[in-house]
Amino acid sequence: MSRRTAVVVLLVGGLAAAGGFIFYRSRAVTVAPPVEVSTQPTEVLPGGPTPLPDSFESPGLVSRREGPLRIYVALPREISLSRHGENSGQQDQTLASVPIVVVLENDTYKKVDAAGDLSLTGDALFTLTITRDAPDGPEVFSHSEPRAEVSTWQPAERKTFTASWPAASISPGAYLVSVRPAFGTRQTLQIRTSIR
Amino acid sequence: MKRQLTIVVLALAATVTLAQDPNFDGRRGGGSVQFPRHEPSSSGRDSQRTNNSERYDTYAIAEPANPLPGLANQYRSLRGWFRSDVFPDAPSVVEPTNISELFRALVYLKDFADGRLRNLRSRKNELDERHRNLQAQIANNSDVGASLYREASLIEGEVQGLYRQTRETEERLASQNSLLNQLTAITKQLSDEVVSAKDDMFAVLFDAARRGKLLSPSNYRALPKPLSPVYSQNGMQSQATAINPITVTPIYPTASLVAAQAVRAMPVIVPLRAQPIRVTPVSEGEVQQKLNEINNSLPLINQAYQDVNEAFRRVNQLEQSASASEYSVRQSRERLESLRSQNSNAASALSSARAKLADATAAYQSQRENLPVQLFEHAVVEYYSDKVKKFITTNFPDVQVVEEAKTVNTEMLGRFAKVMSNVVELGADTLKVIERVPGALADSVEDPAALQTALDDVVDRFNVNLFSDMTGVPKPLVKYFQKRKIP
Repeated sequence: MSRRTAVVVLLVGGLAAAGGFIFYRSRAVTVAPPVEVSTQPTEVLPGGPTPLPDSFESPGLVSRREGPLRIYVALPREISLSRHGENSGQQDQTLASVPIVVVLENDTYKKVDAAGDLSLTGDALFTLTITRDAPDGPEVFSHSEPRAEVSTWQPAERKTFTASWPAASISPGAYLVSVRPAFGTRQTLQIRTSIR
Repeated sequence: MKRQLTIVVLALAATVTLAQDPNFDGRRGGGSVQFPRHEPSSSGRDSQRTNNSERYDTYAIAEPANPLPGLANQYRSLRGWFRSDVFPDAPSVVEPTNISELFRALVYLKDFADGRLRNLRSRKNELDERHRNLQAQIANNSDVGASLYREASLIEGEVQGLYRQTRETEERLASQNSLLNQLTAITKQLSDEVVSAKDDMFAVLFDAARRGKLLSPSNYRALPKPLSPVYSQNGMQSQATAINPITVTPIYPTASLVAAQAVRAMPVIVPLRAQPIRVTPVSEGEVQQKLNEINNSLPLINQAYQDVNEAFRRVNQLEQSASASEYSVRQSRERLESLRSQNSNAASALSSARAKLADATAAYQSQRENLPVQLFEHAVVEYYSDKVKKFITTNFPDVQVVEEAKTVNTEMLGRFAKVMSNVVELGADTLKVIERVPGALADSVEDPAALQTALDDVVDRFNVNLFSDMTGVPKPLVKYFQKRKIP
């Protein structure tokens, strides 16, 4: 290989890497440094997106892949108990509830059958508990999503569930939200938020 | 001598006759005579006569027996006129022994004749009244019949109209159902083809991902975002107090109303006129006058009989007419009821047909509005399926069935990531995706001309000319349909 050819190859490779980096940065949410190493196929052609790790955590979002499904839990990092009215002269508004978004995404191009492919146990698809973020912190809220209405996921289909955390059980402090799926490894996903 | 013998014979004969009369009481001599009593009948007039007969029993006989053969014969002749088969309640025949007895018998007979005349006249009045009532009833039945006939004719017309409208509605329903079936067939074929295209496309993608040539779907779409907390305005939680409406209970009369027709008139009781006791002797003139009075009554009774018979005949005829008119009215009522039932059934049938037509029209309109979007869905899926298959075929010839292997075009990889960001959304209900984010699909298409071609193809292939209604097409997608020339 001549030196000229080597320079051309180097330039092409550099351009491809730069293009990939630019596309990756253009994603809607900046992915935090992966906690775990990705198990996605490593043979990804240059120019495509950087594979998502199996598990990652970013501000307001935590995700983990469980078998064919990917689980996302989204919650604001900081929540205010009250806020000023949007227009001048309006009264202050107080917190009524906090929606917690749980997304179960079919991360394959094949249809997933809840009963056959997920080996679900129990009546719930997942359970969500909120505790004070302290050792042996007391539980302040829990939610169980019934699996009765969920039977299949179409290829690449996302199903979004929203649990409403009522303000009655909310007081200032740090909280830990835990979501435990009833399939896969059944390990808990945790995300933190603070109420002020 | 001969005259004396005749008197003796007559006296003996009279004695024998009186002895044979069971009503003759020899112990009373010539002092008192008991007339046979009438058995009282059930009618008021008979009871009145009974009272009169009791009154006769009290007559006192003041003068001695003085038989008058001429007058007695006239009495017998008159009494014979009241035959027992015609007048079964006529007073019994008596043989008066003196003029007073004769007078009393005549008074009794005259009273009977007057009573019978009154009865006949009363009966005629009743029959006349009945005749008038029947005439009124027939006239009323005629009016009612005419009214029923008019109503029946009206309802019959309505029923015919309802039948006609039902037939027309059913014809329109059949036509609408035919259109709906055609549209449903097109819709179903579109859906089937969309499903088939998706299955093919995702099978290719699944195979490519399995071979490590493609990332999983989550790598091609935006990450979920947290939702904002929900806040409420202070002081807005107050509950509106419902004011109980004041209920007014109507006061109803506790006593039931008495129907006017239930008020019954009290019977008027007219006391009988008291008859003075006769104490003066009866003269022959008085007897003759009574005989004349009875004689004069006979043609009146005859006339009254004829009048009653005539009235009865007319009433009888009218009874038949009234019965016929009643029957006619009853038949008209039954026919009217039958027509009303037919009318009700016909109205129900029309209502049902109209409801079916409304449902079919609504279903057709709904499908008609959805059809453009379904065609667009078909075009989108075809477009992306084509893109994916071409990319895979070009870059990964070992994936699925590939006709010819070509070198990997790395320049396309970046653009393909954008394609995949849309493709991964196609796994779910594409129609919902189009409705939710039509702009995302319409504006993010890399090759709008190719999508337009796919849309034109599917429109032409299904020969669909139903784009006059574009109300169901999301605004960002309208431009794709506006480029078509609608016939």
